Amino acid sequence: MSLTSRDVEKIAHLARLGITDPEKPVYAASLSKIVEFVDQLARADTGAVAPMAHPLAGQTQRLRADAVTETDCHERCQRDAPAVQAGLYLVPKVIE
Amino acid sequence: MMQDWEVVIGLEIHAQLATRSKIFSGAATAYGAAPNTQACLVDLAYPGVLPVLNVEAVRMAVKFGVAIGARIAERSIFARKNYFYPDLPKGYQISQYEEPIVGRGSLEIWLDDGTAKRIGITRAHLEEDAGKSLHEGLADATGIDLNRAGTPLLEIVSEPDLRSAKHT
Amino acid sequence: MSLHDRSIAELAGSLARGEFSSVELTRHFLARIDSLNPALNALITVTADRALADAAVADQRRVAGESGPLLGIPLIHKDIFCTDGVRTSCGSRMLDNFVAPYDATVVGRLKSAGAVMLGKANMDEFAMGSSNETSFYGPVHNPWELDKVPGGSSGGSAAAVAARLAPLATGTDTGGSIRQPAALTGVTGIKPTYGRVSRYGMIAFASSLDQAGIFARTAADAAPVLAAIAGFDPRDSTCVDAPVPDYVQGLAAPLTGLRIGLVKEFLDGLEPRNGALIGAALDVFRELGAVTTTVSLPNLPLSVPTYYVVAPAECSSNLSRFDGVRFGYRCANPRDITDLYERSRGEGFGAEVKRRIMTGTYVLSAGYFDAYYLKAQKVRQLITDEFRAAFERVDLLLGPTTPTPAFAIGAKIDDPVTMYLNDIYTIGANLAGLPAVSAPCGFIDGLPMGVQLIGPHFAEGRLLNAVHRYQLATDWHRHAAPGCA
Repeated sequence: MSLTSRDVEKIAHLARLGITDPEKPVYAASLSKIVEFVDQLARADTGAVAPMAHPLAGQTQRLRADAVTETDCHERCQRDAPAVQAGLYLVPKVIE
Repeated sequence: MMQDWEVVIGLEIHAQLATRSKIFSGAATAYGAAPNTQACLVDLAYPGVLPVLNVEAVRMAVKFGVAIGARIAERSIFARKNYFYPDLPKGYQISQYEEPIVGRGSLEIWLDDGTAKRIGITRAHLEEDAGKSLHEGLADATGIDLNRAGTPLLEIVSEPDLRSAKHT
Repeated sequence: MSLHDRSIAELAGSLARGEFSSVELTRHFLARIDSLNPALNALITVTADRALADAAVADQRRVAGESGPLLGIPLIHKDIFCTDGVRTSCGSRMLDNFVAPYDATVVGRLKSAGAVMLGKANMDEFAMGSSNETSFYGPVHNPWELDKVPGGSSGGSAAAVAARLAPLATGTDTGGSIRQPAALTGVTGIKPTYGRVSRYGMIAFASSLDQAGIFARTAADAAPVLAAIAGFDPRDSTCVDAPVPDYVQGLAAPLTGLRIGLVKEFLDGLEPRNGALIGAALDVFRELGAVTTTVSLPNLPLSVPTYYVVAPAECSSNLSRFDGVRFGYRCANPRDITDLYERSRGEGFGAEVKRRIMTGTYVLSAGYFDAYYLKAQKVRQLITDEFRAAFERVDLLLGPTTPTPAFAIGAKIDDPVTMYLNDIYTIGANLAGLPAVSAPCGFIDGLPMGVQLIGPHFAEGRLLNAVHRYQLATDWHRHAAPGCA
């Protein structure tokens, strides 16, 4: 299964990764090799097997009491933030 | 001309659950705090943090399910809805897709003429709210406040059983 | 015997008897780091002042009557663990400017036990790699031969312990990232059962596979460290609430009657000299009283392709939070929000990380989800079931850790799939969530090799016991890299 530069563009956009034009065919080639490698999974007979999300079979969901345990940390957290104003994280204007 | 068309409405409602703390963290949910003063490391999606589920959010969802006569799933799954938006700090929303906590149920509403109408509920599931994007008062920038990020929501989906705006 | 050759128990004994202080011990290792690290590049950050301050605190705690196997013992943390007030880079430009505002649970527990952090170990970027060549901070060099890789992703931690820059280091293992570098550098590395050790504060790569673990020269050194970090953590919902056995107490038990299964599928295509070392290791276990047999895990060869669907899928989601908005790298002068994301992530992440994010995005995307991600999860169940069936017949499984000794830096980095096959023996244990350990078992062409033992869930005690008895009967683990003795 061969991926093209156009495929790389689409995937890169979904993942918000800036890939330059010269890089696209390079990633297309390596991604194609990886996909070709994992294609062998199609051979496996998985019949009625249920998908396994994690190795903790038999564990139940941990539940936390509904209590406020965290305090205001914005001063510490925003000290090294890329762009902050009036306690808000700033990004370029998002047009809705 | 309007007589040829029938009004058919189904609703998707995101109900904020009135818990004290967030669905996956111990930060407060109280409304009106200064920006980002109720957003802990989990809500800010710092590297290495992990979600822990609030028992009260689960209890409230179950109560709702019982109230509408629905089947409560003994096993339900949280899944990630992946997309990029600045008020979604993890780059995914923890929600439920397959196997929601509340299954099919119904509730009765009373119409103006005194009769009852049964509205079907398809499902209801737990998920987290995103933060807020503020556009006013900032030149060429949008300000992100994550106080709301992680507030528990119950997304309730109705069957397309409503026939008038009055039914909503 | 020099300070850096002594076991953790010997160091703890000397500290208890006042033969030297933790400050003196820490100075000794800091001096070794100064002298040996430039050639190895095993550390990204050295926390000398903090280490000396922490060592002084450990000395005071001892004066106040405290004792403990790790009080005042120096260590190095893989730079994937958040350390409060100290840069935590994850080997990436994306977090080069990130100072963690909190301690990972593993870090906190070792700090409470009195261990002294010397610095943060170099690693493959975001734990993605098997050679420590993808780090933003440059490759780590294997102390045994400087032009060779130490393995990865915990290459810095492995090299540091092998070069005796510290008696112990933490690491993480998602597809073999503790065991493989342990084998290639001649040290002991253990990956506990999934859920045995908290992942809180450990920057997530693949959430259903990641596990924190330990590098040390021996199982006897690793045992008290595992005891300190294992156990329930309310901050990690995947951390199991099960009692932690006394790993130190359990080390000495005789191996009489221990049933060890040699994995047949590991022998297929195994390089003969590697096979000879594994055979020799098996002989030692027999001499120690173990009963050996061969076990077949027919779906095990599918473990590498399964992993390279599941792990990239999970990482593509886990790395979405690195977006230049709240912390970490942000590109200069973003034109709009899309440009902010694309350039921050495009410039902040290296090629292997981008490759894996894209692989993951692809296998999760509409139209491919069932064929790849769902299919891989089903194969994962098949592999897990086979391990479970095997453990009904044997107590532990045995096999090689790596297909070859350490390869040259630059030799495999251009072909991702060739690089991925380095994990062929280790990945199965991650998919099934099983504990596994690699111990030094000999040399090929003067370079160390490891033997791997895999156990059923929560069999860390048995694994450490088996390796300890093996290490009493052999001396591979005592060999030091040239210039590091």
